[in-house]
Amino acid sequence: MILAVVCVAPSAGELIAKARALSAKARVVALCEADGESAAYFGACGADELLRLPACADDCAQGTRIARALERLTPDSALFPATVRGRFLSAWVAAKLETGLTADCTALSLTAEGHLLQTRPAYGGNLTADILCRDSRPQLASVRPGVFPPPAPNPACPSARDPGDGEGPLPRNLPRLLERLGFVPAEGGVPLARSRIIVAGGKGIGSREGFAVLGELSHLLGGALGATRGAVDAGWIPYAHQIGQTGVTVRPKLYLAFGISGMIQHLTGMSGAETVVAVNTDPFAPIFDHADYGIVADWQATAAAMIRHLKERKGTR
Amino acid sequence: MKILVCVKQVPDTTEVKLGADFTLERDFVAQIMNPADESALELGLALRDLRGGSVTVLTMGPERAAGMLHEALSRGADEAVLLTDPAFAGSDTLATARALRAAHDFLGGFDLILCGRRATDGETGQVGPMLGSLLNRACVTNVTAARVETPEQPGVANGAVSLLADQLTEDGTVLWRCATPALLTLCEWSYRLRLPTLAGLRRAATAPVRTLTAAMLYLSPAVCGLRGSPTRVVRVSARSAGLRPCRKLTVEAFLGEGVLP
Repeated sequence: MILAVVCVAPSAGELIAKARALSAKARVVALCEADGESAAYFGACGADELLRLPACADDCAQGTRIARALERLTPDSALFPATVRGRFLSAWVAAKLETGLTADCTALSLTAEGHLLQTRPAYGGNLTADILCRDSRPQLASVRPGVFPPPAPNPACPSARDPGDGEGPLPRNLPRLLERLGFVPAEGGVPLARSRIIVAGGKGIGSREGFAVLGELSHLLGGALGATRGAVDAGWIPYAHQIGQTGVTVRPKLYLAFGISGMIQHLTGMSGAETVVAVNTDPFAPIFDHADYGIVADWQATAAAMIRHLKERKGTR
Repeated sequence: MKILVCVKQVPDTTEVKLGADFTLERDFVAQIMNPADESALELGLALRDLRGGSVTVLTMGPERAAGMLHEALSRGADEAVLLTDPAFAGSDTLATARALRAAHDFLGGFDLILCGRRATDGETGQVGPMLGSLLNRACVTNVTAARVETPEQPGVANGAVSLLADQLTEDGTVLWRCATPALLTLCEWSYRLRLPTLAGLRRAATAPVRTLTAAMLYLSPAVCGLRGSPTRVVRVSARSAGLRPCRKLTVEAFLGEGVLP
């Protein structure tokens, strides 16, 4: 069995580790770009083989090149990081190869017949769907950064060598469709994905002012502020703070959920948290089934009590 | 500029109700145009107003989707096409992209195709770039703004324009230049769709919605619908993974636990 990982984002290391875990006997092949993370890093994450793609300022041409590389490699499956760029490339490749693609998988496993069982949230994130691609190969899937645990790169791993001659047979002179002219980094980036503590609010917060209160709490805790899609759609907080299926995926040590009901769309983005504390007035809110600590109370009174507690403790120190 | 806008009708809520047997009670939910597609339609209308040409709206769906097309006409679209056939039922993203591609070719091709970046129901965001790939044309996803680049040198052949598109990514905005024919997928909030005009409402009341079927596009059943879809949903379930044993307590008791650092 050949499992390919298309390494077009740093988080591809997680996918290599996952591919390795799916089958110890599989040949895991990493397709890496010359201007991405070092090939040695992906090798250390557990790839058996590295295939180098030339750097390219035209994502359409690069997608076609990846499709041709997979055609030659004939892997059973190919995994892509579900970043904006990775998702585009995966869709471009799937159409070129006329094969199935499942976006934003939250779990991957192998069935008894050796098919890749792909699980993703469905229907607005209320349900999860198990998806198979039985007859077409390769089976393509994309996975968001942070869905699988970070890899433990082993530089001593024998596969960290660089075969270096992978790019030779790949098409070089593809017609140019796109030209990358420039890049403007996001201002005031929200370091959600790397935060160890996250204070998040949902529809229950009710206003911008409410999020300002949660902002104070997250500041006191030295954490970051997150939100559900409902709160972002209501305009109370910018999209950069959105956690869940259509936002970022986080794995903090501590996750405080205020006024969040617990739709799958949101749970998908935070279920990797080490400790989850949920605050909601509805004792039957689904979020409590996914929390370690539950406080059935008004979010404002609870946040105020926590802020007071933290300030008092700070004052006595 | 000949512009095609691909739109989709979606349930007007993110909380689709479930029947007793876990089937979706979609028929009881109001249907709207997917918000990101509205953004695409507005960009199409604005570019047409600026450069001339026409805007055709295309959707694949059940017959009731004609209502959404009438609304698009009332807001200024020139032509509306409904791709509908029982043979399309159960299409995954690849089968959908194939059908849209066939309709695109049937309608004589376009200089620019605009789509929403993803639908609120399926949320795959795949159909747009798959359509671009099948047609092998310049494609930029997640676009927040796009404009026609003024040719710097006079004498550029008429119709051969290039576009500048801002692409929103995780770390910032990428600026792309793409030659037409091109395909862009738009973010929800990029352009706010204009309101219907009186003239538009009048035209929508009388303008016909053109209907296309699989047979008219020479699409064989083997590449359409469930049969033509490489992926298959084998199980749908309420989420059970990730359950945690929840200790319910008061905020005072919680603060005593020492969980907060």
